[in-house]
Amino acid sequence: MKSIVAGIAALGLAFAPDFRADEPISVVASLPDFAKIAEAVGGDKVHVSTIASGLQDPHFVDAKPSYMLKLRDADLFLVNGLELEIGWVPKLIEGSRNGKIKAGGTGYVDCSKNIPVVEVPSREINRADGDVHPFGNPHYTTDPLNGKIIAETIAEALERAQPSNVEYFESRKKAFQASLDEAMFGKELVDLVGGKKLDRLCRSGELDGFLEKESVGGAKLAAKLGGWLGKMRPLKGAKMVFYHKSYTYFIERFGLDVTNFVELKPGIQPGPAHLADLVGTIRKDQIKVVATHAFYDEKIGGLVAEKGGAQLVVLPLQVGGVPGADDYFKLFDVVTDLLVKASRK
Amino acid sequence: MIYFVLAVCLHSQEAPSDPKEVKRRIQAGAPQSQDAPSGNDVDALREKLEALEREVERLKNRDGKAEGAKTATPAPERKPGNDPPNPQQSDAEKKRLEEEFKKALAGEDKAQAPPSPPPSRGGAATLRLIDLSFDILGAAGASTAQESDLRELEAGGHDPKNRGFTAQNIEMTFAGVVDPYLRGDANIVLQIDETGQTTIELEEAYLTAIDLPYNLQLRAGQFFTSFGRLNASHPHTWDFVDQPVINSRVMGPDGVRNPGAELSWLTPLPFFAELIGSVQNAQGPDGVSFRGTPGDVVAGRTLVGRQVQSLADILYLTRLRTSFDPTEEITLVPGISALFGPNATAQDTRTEIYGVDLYAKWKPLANDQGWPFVGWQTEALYRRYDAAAVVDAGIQVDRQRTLGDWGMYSQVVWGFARPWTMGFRYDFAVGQEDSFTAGGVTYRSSTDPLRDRRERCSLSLTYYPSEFSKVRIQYNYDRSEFLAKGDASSFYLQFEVLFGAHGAHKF
Repeated sequence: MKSIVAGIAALGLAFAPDFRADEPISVVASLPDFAKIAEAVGGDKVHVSTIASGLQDPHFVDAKPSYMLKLRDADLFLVNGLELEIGWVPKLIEGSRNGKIKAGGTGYVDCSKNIPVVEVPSREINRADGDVHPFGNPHYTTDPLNGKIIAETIAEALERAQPSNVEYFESRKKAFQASLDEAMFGKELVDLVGGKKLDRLCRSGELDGFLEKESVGGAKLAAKLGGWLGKMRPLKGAKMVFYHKSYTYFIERFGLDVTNFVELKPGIQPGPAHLADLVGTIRKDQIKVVATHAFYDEKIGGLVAEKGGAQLVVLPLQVGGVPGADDYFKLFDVVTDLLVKASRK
Repeated sequence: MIYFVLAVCLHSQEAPSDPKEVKRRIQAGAPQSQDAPSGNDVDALREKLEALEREVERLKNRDGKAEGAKTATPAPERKPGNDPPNPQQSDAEKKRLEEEFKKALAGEDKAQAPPSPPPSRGGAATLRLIDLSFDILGAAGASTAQESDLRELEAGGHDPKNRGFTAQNIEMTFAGVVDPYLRGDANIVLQIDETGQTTIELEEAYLTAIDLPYNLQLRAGQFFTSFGRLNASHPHTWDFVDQPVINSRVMGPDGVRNPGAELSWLTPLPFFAELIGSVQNAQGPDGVSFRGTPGDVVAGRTLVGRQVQSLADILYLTRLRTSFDPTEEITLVPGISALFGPNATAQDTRTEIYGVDLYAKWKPLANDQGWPFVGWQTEALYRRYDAAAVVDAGIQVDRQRTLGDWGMYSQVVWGFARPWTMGFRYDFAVGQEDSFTAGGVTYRSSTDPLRDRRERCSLSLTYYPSEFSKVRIQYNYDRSEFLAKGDASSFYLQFEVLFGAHGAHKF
């Protein structure tokens, strides 16, 4: 009997809340992109875990009890927001019994904060439109420039949670943002023009004009463009077909031309008439790439590509969505590789 | 999943600048007093109206002038030849025009664009007050069993009890956050019973305290008892058109639910373990194994009117739910439950119900909107029912008996290809002793549709046009001691539509 009591007491002590300030912040991310960015910003002052894997469709994740357990002791919960996770995150928060991380709580971090959201419906929508997102397209992490805004939001939250390490988080955040700029535009161009200015020009659509107009040492700046943008430059204006509207931000950023989707409407399976039309379009416009994700029906995507004479490319939607896409940088390395390779064929 | 958001948009009442708007307001009588006009008022109104009409004229003129001014300024791009849009304009011309427009627009942009703040989320914020939804679940059925027997075979309150059509469950749900501490949920169910009467039941209405410390959560109000997996679930979430036999028998046609309070605790163990305890009333049609409804007959005994005289006359639940993920794609959710309460065969008799349940699900990480998957759910329930001695005019007619009823169901649902699922369920239930012996006549459990030995196999095929609708066909093969023929085959067609907001379902 005594040993049982002692055991219970020991158990109680082992799981008693710990308020030591130098303890790493416990961060849980709904999706792996946020986890990777939090790791980059938080360094060794955070302990990060993820709920959904990059292989999963973020719309359709089960609210498993084990996920509630992960959230039970979380200090911060990073979510995508824009109702992407509406089918599971509210249930998980409720089940976790963790008041800190409930919507509006100090530990609830909506990473869509300050993101310039696109495809916000401007008319009345209803479910006849399929799986509609009234707050706009939620897949904003597919634009690498948004990674910098997310880092900002996460850094803010970490600094609030552990004010003694503000400088640490700030310097790591800046380093992350700088690396993203270099990966996006190429180090040479960033050194010449500066990341902030490139970001602004890129977002306002003036980058091409600027690079053509300005020159350095007799050569146009355009020649200095490297990184993902440089790599994707030959694909600018290339027509592609996507399975779902999951890459809108990426498509806009890299100037692809995507107006056709395998899905009839978001979340609604296509019928044969739509697929036949699609094949017709692919042939007519000589579209080379049909892009999908691992979680969509590969048969349908494959058939459309095959009949139309295009390449089926399985892109990761999140970090971990395909082998090799192991962090936020490698994610875009892999995506740009896949698209460039498929377009060459 | 998209919620229907009830939004309150506050429009500021600005002075109308549009002449049409001014006129509309005059016609609608917007600025007038609501009282019936007296003579003076009419004069005042006429004056006001005239003033407003003058205002309209003034605005019209001003607008007209503005338009005139606009048209008077010749657009530099404009050429007389282009006045009616020429469909056969050459590509080169089109391109040139585009270029010109591009330049013009770019120039304008530069002139006007301030350092832009990040675009906001499109306009007015929404205040989310209540999520409403309406769910219609109906079935059509055919059976080799007579309708009177079918009602015994399908003993659940929302089971399709008719040959022909059944409005199984028409459910309204209301949910909303009350304040920083509480959330409210309510489900109100309409149903057309087998006699054709529309009935209404307050299925659930409870508050949840969402801000308690120590990983606690409190519910209070009318709610389904958290016993096992099926009892607390709503008919539209079921994988079959009907509920398992053993649930209808020991938990009752509509499940166990009553007003009360529930406290649940997510333990600090390194695996998921949730402890639930609740206290609820034990009476009425939603507590048939307990106090039930006075006058109803259970196992040959007429239920007495029993009142709450001590804490022993309340219903108590304890449940432990745990969960493990052996792999990322497999989840196990085992649980055990026990329910204790009074029964009304006498003033001191008691009922105990014990249950074990297991849910296992396989779903690959890279699933297409949830497909493919395999879900396996099994529950076994045992009820120990103290049936009091029956005394008639001072003479004991039947001795006190302890009746044991047990049963189980095991079902597999296979989502083999989006959006199809196939389900198989095996059902078993049996009452262990005969209910009643009086004057040489024994009321055998085998003649009692609620206590006989029953087996059922069900096969279902479901098609989901979307997350919010489904069509299902099901075949039931029943073997039952009370049926004269011994067995019965039944076919069902079920449909469901759900509109409005609906939260995620429990795992």
